[in-house]
Amino acid sequence: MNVRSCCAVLALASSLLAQELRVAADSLARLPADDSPLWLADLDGDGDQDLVSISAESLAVWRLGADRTYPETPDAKLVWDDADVAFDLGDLDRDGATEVLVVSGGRTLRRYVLGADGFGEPTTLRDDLGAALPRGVHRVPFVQDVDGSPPEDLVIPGPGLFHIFRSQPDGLSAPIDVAFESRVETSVGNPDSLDSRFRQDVTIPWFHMRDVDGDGRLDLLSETSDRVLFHIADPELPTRPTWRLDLQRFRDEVELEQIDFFDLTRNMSALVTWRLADLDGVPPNDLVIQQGSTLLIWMGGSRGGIDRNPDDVLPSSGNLLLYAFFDTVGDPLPELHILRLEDITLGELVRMAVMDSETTLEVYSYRNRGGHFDRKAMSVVQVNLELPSLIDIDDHDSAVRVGVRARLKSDNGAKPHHACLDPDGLLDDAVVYEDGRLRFWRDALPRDGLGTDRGDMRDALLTAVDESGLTGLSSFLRRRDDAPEGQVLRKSYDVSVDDLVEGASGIQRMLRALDRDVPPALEAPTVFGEHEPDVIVTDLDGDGISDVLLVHTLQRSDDEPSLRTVEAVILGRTPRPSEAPATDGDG
Amino acid sequence: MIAPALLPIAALLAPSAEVTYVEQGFSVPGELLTAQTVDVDGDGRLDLLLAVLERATRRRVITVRPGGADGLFAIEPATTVQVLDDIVAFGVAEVRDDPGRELVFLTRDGAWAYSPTKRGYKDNIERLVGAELLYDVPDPQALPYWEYVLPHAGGDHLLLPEAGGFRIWGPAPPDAERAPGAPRYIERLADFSDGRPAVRVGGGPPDDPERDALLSAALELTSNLFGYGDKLSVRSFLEDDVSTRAPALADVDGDGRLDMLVMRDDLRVYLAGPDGLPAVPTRIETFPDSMAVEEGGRRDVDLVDVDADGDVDVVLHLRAARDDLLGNRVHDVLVLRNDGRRLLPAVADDLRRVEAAWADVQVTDVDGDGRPDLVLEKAESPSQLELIRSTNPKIETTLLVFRGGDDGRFARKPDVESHASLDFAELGDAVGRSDLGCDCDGDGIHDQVDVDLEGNVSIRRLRRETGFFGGVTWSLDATPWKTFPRVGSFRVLEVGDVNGDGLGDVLTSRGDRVTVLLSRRPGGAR
Repeated sequence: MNVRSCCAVLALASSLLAQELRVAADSLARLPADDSPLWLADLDGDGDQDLVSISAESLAVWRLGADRTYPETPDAKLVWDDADVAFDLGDLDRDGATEVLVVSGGRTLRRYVLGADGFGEPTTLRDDLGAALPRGVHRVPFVQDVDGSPPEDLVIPGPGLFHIFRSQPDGLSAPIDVAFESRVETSVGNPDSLDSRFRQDVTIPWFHMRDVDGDGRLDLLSETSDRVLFHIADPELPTRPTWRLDLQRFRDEVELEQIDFFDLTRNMSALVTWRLADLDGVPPNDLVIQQGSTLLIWMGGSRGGIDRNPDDVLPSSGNLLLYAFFDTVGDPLPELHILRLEDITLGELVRMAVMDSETTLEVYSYRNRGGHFDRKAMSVVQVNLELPSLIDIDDHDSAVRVGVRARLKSDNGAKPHHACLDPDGLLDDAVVYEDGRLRFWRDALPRDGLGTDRGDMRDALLTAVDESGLTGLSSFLRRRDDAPEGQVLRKSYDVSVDDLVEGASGIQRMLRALDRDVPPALEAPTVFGEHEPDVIVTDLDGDGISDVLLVHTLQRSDDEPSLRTVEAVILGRTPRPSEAPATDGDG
Repeated sequence: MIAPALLPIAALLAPSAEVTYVEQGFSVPGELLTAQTVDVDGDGRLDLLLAVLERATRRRVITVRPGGADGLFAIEPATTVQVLDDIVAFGVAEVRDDPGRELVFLTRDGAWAYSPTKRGYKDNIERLVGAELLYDVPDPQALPYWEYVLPHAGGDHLLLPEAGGFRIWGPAPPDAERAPGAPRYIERLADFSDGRPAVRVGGGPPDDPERDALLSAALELTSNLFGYGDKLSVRSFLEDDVSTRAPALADVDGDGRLDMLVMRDDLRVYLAGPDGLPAVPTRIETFPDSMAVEEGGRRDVDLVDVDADGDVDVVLHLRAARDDLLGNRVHDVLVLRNDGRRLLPAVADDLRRVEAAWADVQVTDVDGDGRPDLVLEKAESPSQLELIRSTNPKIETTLLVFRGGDDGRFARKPDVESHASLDFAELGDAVGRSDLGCDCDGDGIHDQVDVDLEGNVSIRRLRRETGFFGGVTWSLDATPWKTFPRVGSFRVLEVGDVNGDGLGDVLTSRGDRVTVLLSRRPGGAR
């Protein structure tokens, strides 16, 4: 790039930065005043977000027009062809337009595309699904990227199984069946009582995609209460599990007959859990099973083959509350750290709940010798944890809890929403709704706050932990244990509630701090007056600037029914008259 | 639930020294899901019905052990039924002409009859009802017992819930034509006054993406440090819940037939006649404002015959809102007597108020005089002052019994008052269950059955003593009369007369063993 071009770019950038923020469009859409969900999706492929809602009869769309307004009533509808329907929104063919995928009658999967004249005839993708879905109309997230490669795949729940259809160049693959276990709570009423209910709550848990064996490829695992099923990609995901981990077998050997109220921590430690970690630096990953207070380790066990005896057995005297693998001596292999808590009876727990108290955790750390751990701890760290009372008795409030509440209380008024209002692409601008008006600030929130992906968020949290003054806890997590061979290093850390609150309030400050002494860059009225609508900040028109959706039920007049009102405030930028953009790159 | 205790007058006379208990234990090959005593085979004796989740196969199984003339249950089951995966719940009812009663299985799309006298499902299972029930998904690790069975000559009626209400189903007329495979039962009554949605609508992405992003990152940070990410997930694939209010079944008018009470904004009373329940309510009553539950509070409404006049009355237990977990709060117990015309008077006939952290109410004939008594148990938290100043703060537990009088009312002052103080170190000892519902020692007076956290079951006698200078005093023995070490658990304790001798029997379980403690009069007399 030459000097002339650089200057042109700089001039253009400076002119963009000088542009005023303005309301480019403000429109209202109206929906029935019920609890039907509302989503945003680009169904017509024009690069902006359309409104989507559902009813028992249909799916309705309000398309964002070229003038950046929504119509008051839907301008496209998809009528369901069955009373029991599951649908999802996704771009299976990666053409930039979101399709509507519909499973009806539990058997047929159809794809609908929204055109200029509405929804056309669907394409039938499968007619042999064995889907098990709740009655009624539900959005089910069955469009998912399972294998980490485009296009997206389909996950259809069957009776106790997910049927995973991977998208391939020539269509959908044969299904991979992955077991799941619904969490079901059923109430059958009580004929002796007038207050009972018939009820059923159902949760279908998700499955996990992760690199189980450390070969860089995503594997699939699903877990039920008594077993874990592993599908190891080699290189493709197999349709049948590669191997099964029978948790119930391990659990049968340690299960308590009754809850022990005289040693509550014993109940917590009588568990069977499992973990994958690289303990010896040699692939594949290793498998660790906690069976009560004993750790069993199989080298390379992430790929199964654990019918043999474990390669290492680590019994722990006392209650094993938590265990972790991370490095504290500065070598490539992680050490083993076991967290123990003192015995607590029910009475002591109740007392701790009502009075400020202190408890001591002990962390025993064991050196890693190429995947085998020393039997003798190399360090014992005591963490003295101050605990405030959890509840009040007779209106008495713990002094510690009063302090906690005061520290956590936000004095910033209404909650600011992160937004991107300028071309820097950072979510460090703020939107606040108060008293019926929207206010916008540029560069007003911490830049290291809410990131756009999990990595940013994780970094932000670590930063907050480090910078918050959590001296005790932070030091403990980042310590280096340098005990000479044969000696046990003993350390003690005090963690007060103050430390924890400081960390929590630090995070809160990081995310929410807004200097209200600075005048907002823009203010705009809304139709909601004294009401408190839901506020959604997102880029609706695809121009890179955040816009605002406000949703609330309003009644326009006594003669009219209440309707859910959606106000869309689309933001744009206009140049300041005094600063015309430069046209020549000469410096 | 054990069938109501029988209390023949002759049973009042047996001296306690002669009553013994036989301990019958049954190993179950897994986790006990349901235990019931029901007359399945129709011989007039209660049978032991167990539903178990087998450890080896992870399948659900129902077994039936008949009750014998000797007052014991058969050691081996007479019937073992493998429960199919799509069964949500089960009950027992007389629904077809096979010997004894049938098992009724509820699935997502109706109800089915299965005779325990036949082996297997082939040529046995028969559809009774075809309807989309409220329950979408069977829980492979549970098998609730269905109690909404209305006895009826010619075939018991079944009350089954759907979205927004319920329907009652009964046998089609004998002369009605029925297509092959068509359900045996037809609709008798429908109540969808709870608001029947045309169809359920739900599901979607998280409502608060910001909160979810924060939570996901926090969990991932934690899992990276402690490796618990294997079991952590903030996402569920699908969540769905549906519910509707359940009616009560009770003999409202004392005619020996089960009536139905449906509570919506009002109380709908359906009085059963010879042909069963009417299609529309017989009358509608409203709850007085004084009986409304305050925000954050709780109300339990039980139907009990408090005045022994044969019809059911209402006992309300109102709890005020609670500010914290352990603090004391106001409990009001209101007794509303059924006068034959209405269940809900404008003003309660009886009101008791206590302040406690926890309270429980029971109406039962404790002293065996034929008149129900009011039993109130409560536990009071220590005050803040005690917590701060005392090195050993205590929780006070109290048992109060207000005897029923000839006028059908409870005494103003308790005749039995039993206190215990527990310090926090003993709290584990205090957690357990108690039942004062039956006479166990044969003196005609109810006794208390306790089970503690270690599974020890004990029976303590309630005594009535007359002093030389007059007056009657009541006391609950501190020392148990009978003790059964480590046979039970506080999760399962049922007390009632199982073997028909007029004395309380105990059903409990621990681990993979179900224990029934069966009372025995001398010579096994009933």
